[in-house]
Amino acid sequence: MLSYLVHRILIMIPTLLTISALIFIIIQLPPGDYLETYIAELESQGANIDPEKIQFLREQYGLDKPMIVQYAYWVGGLLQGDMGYSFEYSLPVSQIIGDKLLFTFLVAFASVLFTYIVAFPIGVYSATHQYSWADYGLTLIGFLGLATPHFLLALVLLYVFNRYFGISIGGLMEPEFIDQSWTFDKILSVMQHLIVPTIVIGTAGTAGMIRRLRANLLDELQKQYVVTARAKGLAPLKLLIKYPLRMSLNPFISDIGHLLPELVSGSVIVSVVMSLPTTGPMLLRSLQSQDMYLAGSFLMFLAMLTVIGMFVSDLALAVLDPRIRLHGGATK
Amino acid sequence: MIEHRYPPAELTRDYVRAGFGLVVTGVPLLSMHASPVIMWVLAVFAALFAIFGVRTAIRHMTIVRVDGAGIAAVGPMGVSIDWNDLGRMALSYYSTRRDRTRGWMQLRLSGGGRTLRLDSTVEGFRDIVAIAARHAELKRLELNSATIGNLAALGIEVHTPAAAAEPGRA
Repeated sequence: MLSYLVHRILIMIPTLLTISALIFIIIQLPPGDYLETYIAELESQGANIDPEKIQFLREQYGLDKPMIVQYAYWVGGLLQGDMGYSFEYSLPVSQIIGDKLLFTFLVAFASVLFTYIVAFPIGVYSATHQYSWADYGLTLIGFLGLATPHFLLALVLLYVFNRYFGISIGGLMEPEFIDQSWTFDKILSVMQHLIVPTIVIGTAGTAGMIRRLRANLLDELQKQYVVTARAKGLAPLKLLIKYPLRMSLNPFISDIGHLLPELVSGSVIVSVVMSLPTTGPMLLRSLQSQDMYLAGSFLMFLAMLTVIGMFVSDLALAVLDPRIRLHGGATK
Repeated sequence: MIEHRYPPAELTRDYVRAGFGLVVTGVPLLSMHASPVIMWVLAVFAALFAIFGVRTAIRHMTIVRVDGAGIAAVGPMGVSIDWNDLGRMALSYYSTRRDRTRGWMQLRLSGGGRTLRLDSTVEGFRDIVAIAARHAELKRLELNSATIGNLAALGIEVHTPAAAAEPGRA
C-alpha cells in the first residue's frame, strides 16, 4: 500500500500543477482583463477615467506583468494559503470566501451522505427484486429524479417546506442568525434549512447511482458463480453480501471522484434559486466579470476536490479489490 | 536454497520517487510560511516519502531466501516465516492507471505473529508466489477472491476450500 500511496501522490502533484496552468490560461483567454471591463462599464455610465489611476491599478494588481509571472505569483500564493486579491470586491479572496467554503462543504457533504444512504438500499432492493412492483416504482422515481430540473424541484420543495413546516424561504439559516456567532439555535436552524438543498442537489446523483448499482448488481447476480453458490446451499443474504454486492460496489466507489466536484459546480443554479450562501453564485459572477484570482481560486478548489475525490476512491478501490483486470475489464 | 534481491534499476526508480517527493513537499514546507492546513498536508506527504525512501534503502540491503523450510527476508528489519507456521497469504495487484495496466503485485505472507511483504519487482517473484501458493494449498488456507484472481493471472492454479465458489472460477 505504501508504494501505491507514493505512486498515487506523485501523480497528483503534476496533475494539480497542469490544472492550475490550464485554469490560469483559460481565465486569461478572453480579450482584455478585469480593469478593461471595469473601464468600459464606467465609460458606459459617462464617468471620466484618469489614465494614471488606471496605470497605477494595473501595476498594483500586477496586470502589466507577463502571464507567466502572474501565474507564478498566483501559484506561489496558493501554496501559502493566499488565494490572491479580488478586483471586484477589493478584498483578499480568502476574506470574501470565508464562511462560504464551510457552507459549500456542508451542503456537499450532506448531499453525498443523502445520495449514498438513499441510493444504496434502493439499488440493492431493485436488483434483488427485479421486475417487481417495487422495482418498477423505484425505477420510475429514479427516472423522475434524473429528469426533473434542480431549480424546479427546489422551488416546489421551498414552497412545501414553508407552507407545511414553517421553514423560511432561501438561505441556510433564519435571517436573524446571519452574522451572529454560532449557537445551538443557529446550528439547529442550519440543519433545518439544509434539508431542502440536500434533497434537491442529491436527488439527481441518487437516481443515477441507483441505476448504476442496480445494473452492476444484476450483472453479477446473473453470473455462474452465483448459481453455483446457490446450488451449494449458501444462504442468500450471505451470498449477496460476500460476492456480488462486493463486486458491484467498485463503480459505486469510483463515483466518489466525480461526485464531489459535481455537487459543488452542479449546485450553482440551485444556490442562486435558493439564495444559499455557498461559493456557487460567486463563482458564476467572478467568471462573468473576469475577476481572475477569485474565479481561478474557485476553479482550483473544484479541481482539488476532483483530484482528492479520485485519490480517495482509488485508495478505497485498492483496499477493497486489489485485483488484476485483463482484456478490457474482464477479471481472469 | 534460492536467493532473490530487488534489482538495482527498480531500486533506483524508487529512490528517485522518494527524493522527488521529498523535494516537492519538503522545500515548500521549509521555505514558505504556508497556512497550517497546507503545512500539515505537506508534512504528512513529506513523512510518507521519507518512510518510502527508508523502506527502499532497507530493500536495497535485503536478500530474500526461500527453501523447503520457509521464507526469509534477510537484512535490516528482516522477517522469516516457516511454511509450517503459514497462516495467511494474500496477493494484491495495484495500478495507478485508469485501465489498471502497468501495475505491480504485492505478496503478503503471515504466520507465527510475523508478516512478510514482497513486491513483484523482486527477482523471481513468480517462483516465490508459486511456492507460497503450494504451501497455502497444503495448509488448506482460505484465500480471498482477489488473491485467487491474481494467482490465476500469474498462471498459478490453487485448489483451496474457498476457490470453488470464487467469482470467475465457476
